[in-house]
Amino acid sequence: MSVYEQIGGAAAVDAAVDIFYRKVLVDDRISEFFDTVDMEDQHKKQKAFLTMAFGGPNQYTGKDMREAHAHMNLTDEHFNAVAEALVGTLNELSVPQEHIDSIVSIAVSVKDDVLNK
Amino acid sequence: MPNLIVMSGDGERKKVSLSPGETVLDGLLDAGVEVSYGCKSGVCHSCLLQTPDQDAIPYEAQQGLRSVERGQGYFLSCKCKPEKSLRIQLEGVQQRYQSKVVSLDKVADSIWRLRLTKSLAYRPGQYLTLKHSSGVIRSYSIASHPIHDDFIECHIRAFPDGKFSHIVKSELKVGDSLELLGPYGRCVYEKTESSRVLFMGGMGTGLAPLYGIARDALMQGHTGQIFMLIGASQSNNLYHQSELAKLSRAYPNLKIEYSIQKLDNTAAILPISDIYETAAKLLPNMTGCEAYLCGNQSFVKRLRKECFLRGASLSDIKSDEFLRAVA
Repeated sequence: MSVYEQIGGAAAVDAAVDIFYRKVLVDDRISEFFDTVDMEDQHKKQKAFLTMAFGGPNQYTGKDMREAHAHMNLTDEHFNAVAEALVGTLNELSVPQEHIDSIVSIAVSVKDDVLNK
Repeated sequence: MPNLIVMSGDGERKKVSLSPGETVLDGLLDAGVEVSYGCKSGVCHSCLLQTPDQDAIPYEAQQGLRSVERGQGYFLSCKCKPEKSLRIQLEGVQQRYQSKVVSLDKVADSIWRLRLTKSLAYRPGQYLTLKHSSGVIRSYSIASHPIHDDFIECHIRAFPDGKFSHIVKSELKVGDSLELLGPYGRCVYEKTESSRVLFMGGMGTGLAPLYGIARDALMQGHTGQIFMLIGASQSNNLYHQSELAKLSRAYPNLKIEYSIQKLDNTAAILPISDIYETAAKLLPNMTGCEAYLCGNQSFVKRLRKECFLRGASLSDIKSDEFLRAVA
């Protein structure tokens, strides 16, 4: 059983997405990337990201990750801010530490693609 | 390069090539195809076209359309930059209605109240596109109620260089005809939980749709608190206060608050305040609340974000963003 299934699948993503989105919107290090006119669209993207990070069904490839982030000139600081928001969200939802660890390792696995290294 | 195949009612076909980044509307106009259009900003819906090739319609070209229209392949040609070729059905796709001016009054320094004969069905909170005989087309929210008023009312913010503003200020008279298209928009009251707290935030003529939505909610028996916050750039652009006061006397669960953004030369009746701070004080926790936000795009964007950060869920925030026409 994947982490995604163990923490409740799509319902877990639904529970997490608003909390996560609020965290990234108020974090000065990264808020500019998330503060768009089309919040609905941004919300969808974050659901897709969380689904991927939770190990759920997704169509992301390393190439997609690279292309989507290439123009943003992202650094370790940005990546860490998103990771903190992710962990903070999971803590708020009382997700057990072992699952948080698996989710963080999935997020870290795409780090080089996101930072274009 | 994507091509357009234009199919007219009589079976004639014409091929039009689009330049990179060109909209369908601009491509058709360049090729001499007659298409009606207005704002070129995706607001007025006058350039609505239909295609059988629904998969080729970009997302942006259907934003703001009703789901039934999306399902039938309608799209906004001014917002459509297709990546694939498209067939376009040129036919009278829009229902048009004729209305006459019942009254036209200046209600604030730069705001006019236009009342028209009731010629179509609508929901409070929706908007219409008005077409003047000179060809100028603009969209305005509806402030009236379809059952309780026997006219359609729109509030028009006059801009010094605005084309429709000029018509309103110096040409339009009682009895004149206007063509109406619509109604459009989904910023309407849905009676799901009548005890829910509603927050309504409006800037300028954002008051118009909110007045309609509030009356609709109250008349449908909404029992939850309704907080309405109305902002104006200056106190001489506050208007409609007696109507709002009357409404809140009739329905004690409606609370109205005003916020003036900057001083002007008229005696300020109300203190200057930041509308976002006022909103936060009025309703610090918005978890479980429903919000209706109407006004210019930057106002709606900022207030939407703040409502979301204070706990409102995105799907509970409805909005109507006013865009200024570019044509």
